[in-house]
Amino acid sequence: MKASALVIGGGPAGIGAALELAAAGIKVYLVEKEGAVGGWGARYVCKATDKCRQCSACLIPEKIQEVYQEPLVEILTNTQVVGFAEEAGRFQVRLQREQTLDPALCNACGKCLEACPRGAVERLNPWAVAYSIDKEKCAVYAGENCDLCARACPTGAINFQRPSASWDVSVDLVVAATGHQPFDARRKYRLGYGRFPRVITGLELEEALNRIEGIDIFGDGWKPMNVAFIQCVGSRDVQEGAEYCSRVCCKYALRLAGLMRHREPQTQVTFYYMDIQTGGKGFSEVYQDCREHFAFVRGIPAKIDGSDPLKLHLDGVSGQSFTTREHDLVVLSVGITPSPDNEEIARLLTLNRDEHGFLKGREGVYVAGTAGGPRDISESLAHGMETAAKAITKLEGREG
Amino acid sequence: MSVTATRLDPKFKYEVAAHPGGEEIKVCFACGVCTAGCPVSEIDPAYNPRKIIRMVLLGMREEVLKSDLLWLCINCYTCTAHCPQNVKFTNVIGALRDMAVKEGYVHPRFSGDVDEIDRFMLKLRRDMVAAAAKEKDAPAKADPQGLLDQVTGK
Ligand SMILES: Cc1cc2nc3c(=O)[nH]c(=O)nc-3n(C[C@H](O)[C@H](O)[C@H](O)COP(=O)(O)OP(=O)(O)OC[C@H]3O[C@@H](n4cnc5c(N)ncnc54)[C@H](O)[C@@H]3O)c2cc1C
Ligand code: SF4
Ligand code: SF4
Repeated sequence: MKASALVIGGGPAGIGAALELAAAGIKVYLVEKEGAVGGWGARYVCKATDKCRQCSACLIPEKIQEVYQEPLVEILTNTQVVGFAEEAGRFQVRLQREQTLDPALCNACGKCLEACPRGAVERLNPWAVAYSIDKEKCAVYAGENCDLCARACPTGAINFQRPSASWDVSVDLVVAATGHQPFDARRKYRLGYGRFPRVITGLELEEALNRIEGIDIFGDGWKPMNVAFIQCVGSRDVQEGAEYCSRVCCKYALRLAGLMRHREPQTQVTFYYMDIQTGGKGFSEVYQDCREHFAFVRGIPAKIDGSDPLKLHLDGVSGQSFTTREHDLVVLSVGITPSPDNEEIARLLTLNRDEHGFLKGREGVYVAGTAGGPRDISESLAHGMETAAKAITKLEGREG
Repeated sequence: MSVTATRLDPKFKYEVAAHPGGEEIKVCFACGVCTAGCPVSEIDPAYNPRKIIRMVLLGMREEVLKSDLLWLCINCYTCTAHCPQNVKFTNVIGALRDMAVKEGYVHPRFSGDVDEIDRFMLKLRRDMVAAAAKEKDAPAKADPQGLLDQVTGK
């Protein structure tokens, strides 16, 4: 088929859609605003203990590799959609690419990372083929003079004078796979995130365990002995406008706890929860295992005192009334919330949003993955492929 | 307040829900966040907002309305601010107190007494904080009983 498509967002859903479209002979522009594809999942740790725990984290590097090998997919990092028009069933799209760091020249040697005194150079995930510059930290974007990274780069990949490029493409269909935002735990002031250093989020634990071999998560030699996981933070919460279950938190939290215990067998773990969602592949086995080794307390702590150890206030523990429990580390199992970009994307592509703020597709413009609602990695990937398959059928019908 | 009901009244929860402030009671999913944040529960675990809601939903009219615990709430709205389901428990307590008065479980006078106690406690608190503040930059810990004696002139 001689057709073309735009896929916005290079997470598992966008990659899945791009691969499926390319397999049908469709030329794909895969547009990713960050410096690397992979989405959130590319930062997560493999949660295998003595055996694979089927957390799907490994699916991402596999799919990144596949998509880079697909000649019909043009991967455009540091790129955004800035203009969008519809004409006779086709879409005219204006793309804009930030070119300070040219990924074609970058060989990921890391010299820039060493040179930057502000830590503004980053490698977004271990599979990123190029480095990225965090505009929020970089001195140049703050209006100051600096070219330390550019001078350190042996290939000339970094050049602050290089202007951004914009050009138009014309496509037959669009897939918005712009993903989600992990819940901002600061919004739960009473749980102390952002105020007490030993209250962390599930996302931070994912990233820390991915970075290190053991459980020295703060890199200062301290090891948690008695960990609390608080479930449903920012999910099933009317006050946060998130009356839905995020579908991923129980799974990643139990698997992360299992991984911590595997790395440091004496680690004690308690889960505070309302109920555990045990759906999903290979999960009931993980859950059974966890029931043996971890404590499960039905009740969500209302507040945490920043003492050492941390003190959790809760109610309803095995028939008891108000009690407090002590833990040296608290992990908040933050859920999936709609991306803050959704409003802008909906405006640009003329899409509707559901009552929570997730995107809804329409004729010719499809929505895949967590842009449309909570999903885990394998579900997002499958949803991307499914959505692409649906779009292809529609397109064939139109052409035939 | 224990959960050993003698007579259950299935209409009770609808009456509470129909009372201004009681509307959201039926969506409570018993997470206990209200109790876990309540300053009264912290000093007296027998006072338990989550349990009071359960008892209302179960229809334990008499146990709830005649209980002294109903009057322990200090109207701080912490429970309401924390509830993930937007149950406004502070208003529920208000509704239950109104019903207790209306149905003759307590004399209307008593409700006024409780308001009076609340005001008295606030004045006392203000005076104790003021007394403690005289030494606010000293490391020594203030002793609440001593402060009380000081402000009540004992
Ligand atoms: C703390 C936490 C832990 C988790 N752990 C697991 C786990 O162990 N296993 C599991 O299966 N799932 C896990 N999940 C769920 C997992 O993160 C998601 O299922 C997955 O990331 C969804 O993929 P996606 O492609 O829909 O979106 P994303 O991963 O959010 O990817 C979206 C991509 O689109 C890009 N993008 C966004 N807006 C634009 C734009 N305007 N223009 C261009 N590009 C854009 C983003 O930069 C990003 O690369 C976890 C979730 C959380 C919150
Ligand atoms: S916090 Fe809300 S939902 Fe939870 S037990 Fe209290 S009233 Fe019910
Ligand atoms: S309003 Fe009443 S029930 Fe709610 S937290 Fe304050 S004292 Fe407790």
